[in-house]
Amino acid sequence: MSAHSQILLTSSEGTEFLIDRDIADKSMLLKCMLEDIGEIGQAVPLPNVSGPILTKVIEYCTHHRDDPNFLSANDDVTADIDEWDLEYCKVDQGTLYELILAANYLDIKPLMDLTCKTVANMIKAKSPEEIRKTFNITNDFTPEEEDQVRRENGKDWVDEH
Amino acid sequence: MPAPALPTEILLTIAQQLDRPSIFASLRVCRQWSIVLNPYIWTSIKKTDWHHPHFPIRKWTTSSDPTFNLCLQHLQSLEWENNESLIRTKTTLNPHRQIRSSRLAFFLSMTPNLTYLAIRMEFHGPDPRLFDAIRGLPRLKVLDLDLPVTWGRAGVPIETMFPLFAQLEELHLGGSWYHHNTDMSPILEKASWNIKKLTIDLLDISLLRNCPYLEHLRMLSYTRSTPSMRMAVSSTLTALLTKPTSLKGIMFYSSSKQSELGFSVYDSKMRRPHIPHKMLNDVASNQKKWFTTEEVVDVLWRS
Repeated sequence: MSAHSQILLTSSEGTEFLIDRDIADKSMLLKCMLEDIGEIGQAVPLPNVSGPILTKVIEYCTHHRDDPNFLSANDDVTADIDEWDLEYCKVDQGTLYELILAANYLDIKPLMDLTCKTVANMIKAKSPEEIRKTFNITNDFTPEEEDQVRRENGKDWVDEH
Repeated sequence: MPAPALPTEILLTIAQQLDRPSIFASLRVCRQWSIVLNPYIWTSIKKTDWHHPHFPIRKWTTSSDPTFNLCLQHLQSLEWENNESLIRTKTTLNPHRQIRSSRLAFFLSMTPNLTYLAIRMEFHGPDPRLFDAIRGLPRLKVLDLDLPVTWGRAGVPIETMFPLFAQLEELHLGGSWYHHNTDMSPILEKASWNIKKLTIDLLDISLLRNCPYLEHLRMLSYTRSTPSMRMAVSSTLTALLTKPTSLKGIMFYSSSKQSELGFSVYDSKMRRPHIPHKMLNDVASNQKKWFTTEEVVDVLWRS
């Protein structure tokens, strides 16, 4: 197998993407598949991933192409996100969610960790009302229920930390 | 354009990454979030949690709170402190009464995802059921046991824990365990663990031979060291440090002198380690410096 072999991927709309084998190997799904069945010379269909999202995923894998710690770098969930990754995640929320689902489907753990951490950071240090605004959620609690949830989960816990 | 709804599967994925204040705020967002996130309130139990008036373990029984039992499935980190003034059981009138270790054992049988476990117990006698329960934690990576010294003397079968040690990254043992058992060397010789951080009593120094990938070593000494003990420490450390090692730091605590000594050791090529240990004080001169193997052994001798 040549080191420079290329793989053809097809997005959900049928758009074709030709990528280097080492980029494809960042996805555990593709890596295992290619190891199992070899390179068959046909396009690999990815019905769950749209063209724009696949472009974005390939951009991530290409940037981290020679990253020796690709699989272990993001183990620490409290670690800061580096500048390029931070910039990379500045997309609208719909795109971010689709990226998470694509990273999950393609099994690219570092991208999964990065995008999930980005969403988690959108929740941290916010009040319930601020979270609702961020995620466009309607408060469907009755006043009694809301009161009960607040009582059960002790306001003092929150103040303590 | 309003943001699209956050898919539930993503909310579940990020739940593990939220700290407790964020979880509590999120529970109040809407019904769906409240239902999805409720089991994630207790992914981590710290020792400070025990002082909270609503802390659920204090009055926990298996049947009392099904919601909390569901939470236990997601518990990843547990610091178990037996503080008898906090714990009330039905029969608690005796001030020395604590949560029994058998109860802790049962509790642990409900926490299959635990990766970090720290236990401090002061009064109870050894209970094999507790060890069975700890051994049964399939994902445990860090074990920090501070059990009564008398447990070791009472013959807790530490060798039965060796299969567990093989899966650990960190092991901290307060009090001596091993040296009381004299017939274990055949079992020990075969054992090789991946432990990177280890805390042991000086008396148990021979366990070091089973940790070839060790990076940080802490040694404790609660008893006066005898010449034969110092000899054993010296020869074990010299053997360890004079061949290629992954060791980055050694610390030595001695309760008799209230002193802490810290060392960083050179690697086999006499280069400084990439991540030296924080403590680099030579207590005698109160200066920060690098130590060679001989000096480490020498300082241990002097203490």
